[in-house]
Amino acid sequence: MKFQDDNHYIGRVLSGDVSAYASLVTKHKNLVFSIVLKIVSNREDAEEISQDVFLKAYQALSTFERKSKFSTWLYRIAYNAAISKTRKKKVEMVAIEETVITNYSTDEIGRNMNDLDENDRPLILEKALLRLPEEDNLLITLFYKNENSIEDISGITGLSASNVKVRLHRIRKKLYEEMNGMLKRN
Amino acid sequence: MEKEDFLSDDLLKDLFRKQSWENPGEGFTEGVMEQILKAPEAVPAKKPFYLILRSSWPYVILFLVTVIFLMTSDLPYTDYIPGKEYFTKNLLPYFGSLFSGFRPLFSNIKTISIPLMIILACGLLVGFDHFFFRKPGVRHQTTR
Repeated sequence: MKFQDDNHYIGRVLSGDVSAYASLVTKHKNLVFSIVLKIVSNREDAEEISQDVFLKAYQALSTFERKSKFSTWLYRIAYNAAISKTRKKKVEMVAIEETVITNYSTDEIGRNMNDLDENDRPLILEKALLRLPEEDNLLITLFYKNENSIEDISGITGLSASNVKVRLHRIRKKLYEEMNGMLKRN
Repeated sequence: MEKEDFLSDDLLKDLFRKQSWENPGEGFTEGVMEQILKAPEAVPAKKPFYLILRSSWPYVILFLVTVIFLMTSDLPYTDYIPGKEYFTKNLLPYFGSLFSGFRPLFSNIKTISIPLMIILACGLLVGFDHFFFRKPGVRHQTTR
Protein backbone atom coordinates (compact mmCIF):
# COMPACT_ATOMS: atom_id res chain seq x y z
CA MET A 1 0.00 0.00 0.00
CA LYS A 2 1.40 3.37 -0.99
CA PHE A 3 1.06 6.09 1.61
CA GLN A 4 1.20 9.84 1.26
CA ASP A 5 3.13 12.20 3.51
CA ASP A 6 1.96 12.15 7.15
CA ASN A 7 1.11 15.86 7.06
CA HIS A 8 -1.45 15.18 4.36
CA TYR A 9 -3.40 12.85 6.66
CA ILE A 10 -2.90 15.09 9.69
CA GLY A 11 -4.38 18.03 7.81
CA ARG A 12 -7.39 15.97 6.80
CA VAL A 13 -7.98 14.70 10.35
CA LEU A 14 -7.72 18.19 11.81
CA SER A 15 -10.19 19.48 9.26
CA GLY A 16 -12.72 16.88 10.40
CA ASP A 17 -12.04 13.81 8.24
CA VAL A 18 -11.55 11.30 11.07
CA SER A 19 -11.29 8.35 8.66
CA ALA A 20 -7.97 9.71 7.37
CA TYR A 21 -6.48 8.73 10.71
CA ALA A 22 -6.84 5.06 9.72
CA SER A 23 -4.11 5.60 7.11
CA LEU A 24 -1.76 6.97 9.76
CA VAL A 25 -2.50 3.98 11.98
CA THR A 26 -1.90 1.51 9.16
CA LYS A 27 1.29 3.26 8.13
CA HIS A 28 2.88 3.32 11.59
CA LYS A 29 1.28 0.40 13.45
CA ASN A 30 4.10 -2.08 12.87
CA LEU A 31 6.84 0.16 14.15
CA VAL A 32 4.78 1.43 17.10
CA PHE A 33 3.92 -2.16 17.99
CA SER A 34 7.56 -3.23 17.62
CA ILE A 35 8.80 -0.40 19.85
CA VAL A 36 6.28 -1.24 22.56
CA LEU A 37 6.87 -4.98 22.26
CA LYS A 38 10.60 -4.56 22.65
CA ILE A 39 10.01 -2.86 25.99
CA VAL A 40 7.06 -4.76 27.46
CA SER A 41 7.98 -8.19 25.97
CA ASN A 42 4.38 -9.37 25.90
CA ARG A 43 2.30 -9.33 22.71
CA GLU A 44 -1.08 -8.83 24.38
CA ASP A 45 0.14 -5.93 26.50
CA ALA A 46 1.98 -4.48 23.51
CA GLU A 47 -1.17 -4.55 21.39
CA GLU A 48 -3.24 -2.87 24.10
CA ILE A 49 -0.62 -0.20 24.70
CA SER A 50 -0.20 0.40 20.97
CA GLN A 51 -3.94 0.98 20.59
CA ASP A 52 -3.80 3.41 23.48
CA VAL A 53 -0.82 5.16 21.88
CA PHE A 54 -2.78 5.82 18.69
CA LEU A 55 -5.76 7.05 20.70
CA LYS A 56 -3.57 9.43 22.70
CA ALA A 57 -1.89 10.65 19.54
CA TYR A 58 -5.27 11.30 17.96
CA GLN A 59 -6.45 13.31 20.94
CA ALA A 60 -3.27 15.35 20.99
CA LEU A 61 -2.95 15.73 17.24
CA SER A 62 -3.73 19.43 17.28
CA THR A 63 -0.85 20.04 19.67
CA PHE A 64 1.60 18.38 17.29
CA GLU A 65 3.91 21.09 16.01
CA ARG A 66 5.17 20.12 12.61
CA LYS A 67 8.73 21.11 13.48
CA SER A 68 9.65 17.47 14.03
CA LYS A 69 8.56 14.41 12.12
CA PHE A 70 5.18 12.95 13.04
CA SER A 71 6.81 9.53 13.34
CA THR A 72 9.31 10.81 15.94
CA TRP A 73 6.48 12.39 17.93
CA LEU A 74 4.36 9.23 17.71
CA TYR A 75 7.22 6.90 18.63
CA ARG A 76 7.99 9.06 21.63
CA ILE A 77 4.42 8.62 22.86
CA ALA A 78 4.82 4.87 22.28
CA TYR A 79 8.13 4.76 24.09
CA ASN A 80 6.80 6.69 27.09
CA ALA A 81 3.63 4.60 27.27
CA ALA A 82 5.64 1.38 27.21
CA ILE A 83 8.10 2.64 29.79
CA SER A 84 5.35 3.78 32.15
CA LYS A 85 3.57 0.45 31.72
CA THR A 86 6.63 -1.45 32.81
CA ARG A 87 7.22 1.12 35.56
CA LYS A 88 10.73 1.60 34.33
CA LYS A 89 12.18 5.03 34.22
CA LYS A 90 14.74 6.22 31.76
CA VAL A 91 17.25 6.72 34.52
CA GLU A 92 16.86 3.11 35.52
CA MET A 93 18.12 1.90 32.17
CA VAL A 94 20.51 -0.92 32.82
CA ALA A 95 24.03 0.12 32.05
CA ILE A 96 26.11 -2.41 30.23
CA GLU A 97 29.01 -3.57 32.28
CA GLU A 98 32.21 -2.68 30.54
CA THR A 99 33.95 -5.58 32.20
CA VAL A 100 32.08 -8.19 30.19
CA ILE A 101 33.15 -6.62 26.93
CA THR A 102 36.20 -8.33 25.64
CA ASN A 103 38.17 -7.86 22.47
CA TYR A 104 36.66 -9.16 19.29
CA SER A 105 37.19 -8.66 15.64
CA THR A 106 34.22 -7.58 13.56
CA ASP A 107 35.96 -9.11 10.54
CA GLU A 108 36.18 -12.42 12.32
CA ILE A 109 32.51 -12.24 13.25
CA GLY A 110 31.69 -11.28 9.67
CA ARG A 111 33.60 -14.31 8.37
CA ASN A 112 31.91 -16.61 10.87
CA MET A 113 28.55 -15.15 9.88
CA ASN A 114 29.27 -15.88 6.25
CA ASP A 115 29.95 -19.50 7.13
CA LEU A 116 26.44 -19.75 8.50
CA ASP A 117 23.40 -20.53 6.41
CA GLU A 118 21.78 -17.29 5.22
CA ASN A 119 18.58 -18.09 7.10
CA ASP A 120 20.47 -18.60 10.35
CA ARG A 121 22.20 -15.22 10.37
CA PRO A 122 19.18 -13.16 11.42
CA LEU A 123 18.47 -15.76 14.10
CA ILE A 124 21.86 -15.13 15.69
CA LEU A 125 21.10 -11.41 15.73
CA GLU A 126 17.63 -12.01 17.12
CA LYS A 127 18.97 -14.18 19.94
CA ALA A 128 21.71 -11.67 20.73
CA LEU A 129 19.17 -8.84 20.81
CA LEU A 130 17.04 -10.75 23.29
CA ARG A 131 19.99 -10.85 25.66
CA LEU A 132 20.19 -7.07 25.72
CA PRO A 133 18.17 -4.90 28.11
CA GLU A 134 14.87 -3.91 26.44
CA GLU A 135 15.72 -0.25 25.90
CA ASP A 136 19.10 -1.11 24.45
CA ASN A 137 17.43 -3.52 22.07
CA LEU A 138 15.12 -0.71 21.00
CA LEU A 139 17.86 1.90 20.58
CA ILE A 140 20.02 -0.25 18.34
CA THR A 141 17.03 -1.42 16.31
CA LEU A 142 15.93 2.14 15.69
CA PHE A 143 19.42 3.09 14.56
CA TYR A 144 20.41 0.17 12.36
CA LYS A 145 17.08 -1.20 11.21
CA ASN A 146 14.81 1.81 11.05
CA GLU A 147 17.80 4.02 10.18
CA ASN A 148 16.68 6.76 12.55
CA SER A 149 19.24 9.50 13.08
CA ILE A 150 20.80 10.22 16.47
CA GLU A 151 18.53 13.28 16.71
CA ASP A 152 15.44 11.19 15.98
CA ILE A 153 16.36 8.65 18.64
CA SER A 154 17.06 11.48 21.05
CA GLY A 155 13.59 12.87 20.29
CA ILE A 156 11.94 9.50 20.80
CA THR A 157 13.67 8.47 24.00
CA GLY A 158 14.31 11.87 25.60
CA LEU A 159 18.00 11.02 25.98
CA SER A 160 20.53 13.63 24.93
CA ALA A 161 22.16 13.15 21.53
CA SER A 162 25.58 12.58 23.08
CA ASN A 163 24.12 10.02 25.46
CA VAL A 164 22.48 8.21 22.55
CA LYS A 165 25.84 8.05 20.73
CA VAL A 166 27.65 6.67 23.76
CA ARG A 167 24.92 4.14 24.44
CA LEU A 168 24.80 2.99 20.83
CA HIS A 169 28.54 2.53 20.82
CA ARG A 170 28.37 0.40 23.95
CA ILE A 171 25.32 -1.55 22.83
CA ARG A 172 26.99 -2.36 19.51
CA LYS A 173 30.02 -3.70 21.32
CA LYS A 174 27.83 -5.73 23.62
CA LEU A 175 25.82 -7.08 20.69
CA TYR A 176 28.98 -8.19 18.93
CA GLU A 177 30.14 -9.79 22.12
CA GLU A 178 26.90 -11.76 22.36
CA MET A 179 27.01 -12.78 18.70
CA ASN A 180 30.62 -13.76 19.00
CA GLY A 181 29.83 -16.00 21.95
CA MET A 182 26.98 -17.65 20.08
CA LEU A 183 29.05 -18.22 16.96
CA LYS A 184 31.84 -19.78 19.01
CA ARG A 185 29.36 -22.09 20.71
CA ASN A 186 28.00 -23.09 17.30
CA MET B 1 20.16 11.13 6.87
CA GLU B 2 23.09 12.03 9.05
CA LYS B 3 24.84 8.94 10.39
CA GLU B 4 27.71 8.83 12.81
CA ASP B 5 30.82 7.43 11.12
CA PHE B 6 32.04 5.57 14.17
CA LEU B 7 28.69 3.80 14.36
CA SER B 8 28.41 2.91 10.70
CA ASP B 9 28.37 -0.84 10.37
CA ASP B 10 27.42 -2.60 7.16
CA LEU B 11 27.35 -6.03 8.76
CA LEU B 12 24.82 -5.00 11.40
CA LYS B 13 22.77 -3.01 8.91
CA ASP B 14 22.60 -6.00 6.62
CA LEU B 15 21.58 -8.32 9.45
CA PHE B 16 18.93 -5.92 10.71
CA ARG B 17 17.58 -5.45 7.21
CA LYS B 18 16.80 -9.16 7.04
CA GLN B 19 14.69 -8.93 10.19
CA SER B 20 11.02 -8.12 9.81
CA TRP B 21 9.01 -5.80 12.01
CA GLU B 22 6.54 -7.29 14.43
CA ASN B 23 2.89 -7.01 13.37
CA PRO B 24 -0.02 -6.41 15.71
CA GLY B 25 -2.96 -8.76 15.26
CA GLU B 26 -5.51 -8.57 12.48
CA GLY B 27 -8.05 -5.79 12.83
CA PHE B 28 -5.69 -3.53 14.78
CA THR B 29 -6.46 -0.43 12.71
CA GLU B 30 -10.18 -1.14 12.85
CA GLY B 31 -9.92 -1.52 16.63
CA VAL B 32 -8.24 1.86 17.00
CA MET B 33 -10.75 3.56 14.72
CA GLU B 34 -13.62 1.95 16.58
CA GLN B 35 -12.32 3.37 19.86
CA ILE B 36 -11.93 6.80 18.32
CA LEU B 37 -15.40 6.81 16.83
CA LYS B 38 -17.01 5.26 19.91
CA ALA B 39 -15.98 8.12 22.18
CA PRO B 40 -17.73 11.27 20.94
CA GLU B 41 -15.47 13.38 23.15
CA ALA B 42 -12.41 12.01 21.48
CA VAL B 43 -12.01 14.89 19.11
CA PRO B 44 -8.63 16.49 18.68
CA ALA B 45 -8.04 18.75 21.65
CA LYS B 46 -8.23 22.49 21.06
CA LYS B 47 -4.85 23.94 20.36
CA PRO B 48 -3.58 25.58 23.57
CA PHE B 49 -3.27 29.37 23.47
CA TYR B 50 0.47 29.34 24.19
CA LEU B 51 1.03 27.18 21.11
CA ILE B 52 -0.86 29.65 18.95
CA LEU B 53 1.17 32.47 20.49
CA ARG B 54 4.41 30.54 20.06
CA SER B 55 3.84 29.99 16.37
CA SER B 56 2.75 33.59 15.78
CA TRP B 57 5.30 35.57 17.80
CA PRO B 58 7.46 36.57 14.79
CA TYR B 59 4.38 38.10 13.17
CA VAL B 60 3.43 39.91 16.39
CA ILE B 61 6.91 41.42 16.64
CA LEU B 62 6.91 42.35 12.96
CA PHE B 63 3.54 44.03 13.39
CA LEU B 64 4.70 46.01 16.45
CA VAL B 65 7.94 47.11 14.76
CA THR B 66 5.99 48.22 11.67
CA VAL B 67 3.49 50.17 13.78
CA ILE B 68 6.23 51.89 15.80
CA PHE B 69 8.18 52.65 12.64
CA LEU B 70 5.20 54.16 10.85
CA MET B 71 4.03 56.11 13.90
CA THR B 72 7.43 57.65 14.56
CA SER B 73 8.71 58.19 11.02
CA ASP B 74 8.67 61.42 9.06
CA LEU B 75 7.99 59.70 5.79
CA PRO B 76 5.47 61.41 3.52
CA TYR B 77 1.87 60.26 3.92
CA THR B 78 2.46 58.84 7.40
CA ASP B 79 0.85 61.97 8.82
CA TYR B 80 -2.45 60.66 7.56
CA ILE B 81 -2.32 57.50 9.67
CA PRO B 82 -5.21 57.70 12.14
CA GLY B 83 -4.03 58.03 15.72
CA LYS B 84 -0.49 59.07 14.86
CA GLU B 85 -0.82 62.37 16.66
CA TYR B 86 -2.18 60.66 19.77
CA PHE B 87 0.69 58.13 19.59
CA THR B 88 3.45 60.75 19.40
CA LYS B 89 1.92 63.26 21.80
CA ASN B 90 0.48 60.96 24.47
CA LEU B 91 1.72 57.37 24.26
CA LEU B 92 5.42 58.00 23.56
CA PRO B 93 5.83 60.45 26.49
CA TYR B 94 3.91 58.02 28.68
CA PHE B 95 6.33 55.16 27.85
CA GLY B 96 9.23 57.58 28.32
CA SER B 97 8.11 58.47 31.85
CA LEU B 98 7.39 54.81 32.61
CA PHE B 99 10.95 53.80 31.71
CA SER B 100 12.49 56.74 33.54
CA GLY B 101 10.49 55.64 36.60
CA PHE B 102 12.17 52.22 36.47
CA ARG B 103 15.64 53.59 35.79
CA PRO B 104 16.55 54.35 39.45
CA LEU B 105 15.91 50.71 40.34
CA PHE B 106 18.72 49.62 38.04
CA SER B 107 21.09 52.51 38.53
CA ASN B 108 21.24 52.44 42.33
CA ILE B 109 24.10 49.92 42.52
CA LYS B 110 24.57 50.16 46.26
CA THR B 111 21.22 48.70 47.19
CA ILE B 112 19.14 46.35 45.12
CA SER B 113 19.98 46.93 41.49
CA ILE B 114 22.41 44.05 40.90
CA PRO B 115 20.32 41.30 42.57
CA LEU B 116 17.26 42.72 40.86
CA MET B 117 18.95 42.59 37.48
CA ILE B 118 20.09 39.02 38.09
CA ILE B 119 16.59 37.98 39.11
CA LEU B 120 15.11 39.74 36.11
CA ALA B 121 17.61 38.14 33.71
CA CYS B 122 17.05 34.67 35.17
CA GLY B 123 13.29 35.17 35.05
CA LEU B 124 13.49 36.17 31.41
CA LEU B 125 15.65 33.16 30.53
CA VAL B 126 13.34 30.75 32.33
CA GLY B 127 10.32 32.44 30.77
CA PHE B 128 11.75 32.23 27.25
CA ASP B 129 12.80 28.63 27.75
CA HIS B 130 9.38 27.68 29.03
CA PHE B 131 7.63 29.54 26.24
CA PHE B 132 9.72 28.30 23.33
CA PHE B 133 10.69 24.80 24.40
CA ARG B 134 7.78 23.58 26.47
CA LYS B 135 6.50 20.28 25.13
CA PRO B 136 2.75 20.02 24.77
CA GLY B 137 1.40 17.27 26.99
CA VAL B 138 -0.91 14.53 25.83
CA ARG B 139 -4.32 14.92 27.35
CA HIS B 140 -6.98 12.29 27.81
CA GLN B 141 -10.43 13.37 26.83
CA THR B 142 -12.28 10.10 26.51
CA THR B 143 -14.56 8.80 29.18
CA ARG B 144 -13.94 5.14 28.56
